Amino acid sequence: MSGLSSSLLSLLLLASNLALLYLYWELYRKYVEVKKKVKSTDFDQIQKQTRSILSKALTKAHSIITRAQQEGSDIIHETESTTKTLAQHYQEELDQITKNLEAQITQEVQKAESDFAKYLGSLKSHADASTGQVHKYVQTRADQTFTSLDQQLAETVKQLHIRSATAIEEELKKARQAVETYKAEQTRVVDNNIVAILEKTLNLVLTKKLTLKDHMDLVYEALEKAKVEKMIS
Amino acid sequence: MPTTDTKNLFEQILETTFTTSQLTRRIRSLRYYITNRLYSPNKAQLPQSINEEDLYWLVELGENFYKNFTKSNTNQILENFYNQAKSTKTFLMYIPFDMPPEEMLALGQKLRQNYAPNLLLDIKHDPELIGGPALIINGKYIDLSMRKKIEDNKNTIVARIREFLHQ
Repeated sequence: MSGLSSSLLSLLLLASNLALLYLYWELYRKYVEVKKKVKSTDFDQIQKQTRSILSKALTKAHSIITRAQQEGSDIIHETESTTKTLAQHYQEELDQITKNLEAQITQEVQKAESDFAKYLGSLKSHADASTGQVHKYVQTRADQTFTSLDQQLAETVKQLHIRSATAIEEELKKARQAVETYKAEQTRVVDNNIVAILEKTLNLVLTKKLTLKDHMDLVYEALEKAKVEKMIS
Repeated sequence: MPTTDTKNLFEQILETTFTTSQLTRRIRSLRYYITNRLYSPNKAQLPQSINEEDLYWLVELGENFYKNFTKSNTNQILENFYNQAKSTKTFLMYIPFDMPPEEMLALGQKLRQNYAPNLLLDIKHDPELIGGPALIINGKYIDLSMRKKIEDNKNTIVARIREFLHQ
């Protein structure tokens, strides 16, 4: 408020100064015109007249200024008082408004708080419900997953078991076959050896043990058999 | 000399000759004896290659046999003997022992009784036969030896040995 009144005063002073300057300028201009038109004697008279006019003008200007200043200070004083009043009124209104606003804000805040609390409560309950559902869902899925995993594992183990058993049986069969083949081969070799040894032994033994009669008997017996079986004719 | 007489003479030789080796040897001995008789009658000695058995056989042939031989026909007759020997039916026999002459004689007589009158034996030695003979008749090999019997009964013999071993 005080800033406004000082600005107003400054403006008034400025305006009055400008007005004076304009007046002076007009007077000077007229002086110059007159000076051009008028002679020197007239000029002195005019100059005197002018000086008197100027002094009158100055006096008037000073009075105007004084009045302006007076009015200005009155205005300023009035303005200041008005401003004070207005400021006080404004302050009172402002305080009232502030109080009202505070009350309203407080009320709103309290309402908001209660709403928020309610909202939070509902969120919590909703979250709890969701958590329960999620937990239940997760549990169910986990159970399903584990069950499925168990079944798959069991199936895989079963398949592995079957394959292993089959592979082992195949290998056992091959091994048995190899053993049998080896056994048969060795038996054949042994049999051949037995027969060869037998022949050799008989050859060595019988050559010494068989008498001439035995040999001749064998020859006659063989020939008789050959004749009976018609191998020789 | 007619062929028929040569044949008769050859049959006389075959009466007491049973193997091919014996026949070959006796015909050779006969050649020596007859040549000596015709060309060196006073010479009593004969080659030492003629064994005692063949000497006895030469003597046993008799004068009736030798009167058929002259200086002109001896070679021819002996040549005929060789040819007839080649065409005579032969019984090739493999045996695992040494057969003495007397057994050879007996066997030869037996074979002539059973198969052919002038059958000749060709005896060869094969110790692998162990016992009993193997024959080749008309190009056919017939194994009657103990070796063949062992071979034929190999499985039975092996089974018996196995039984014996497992007892």
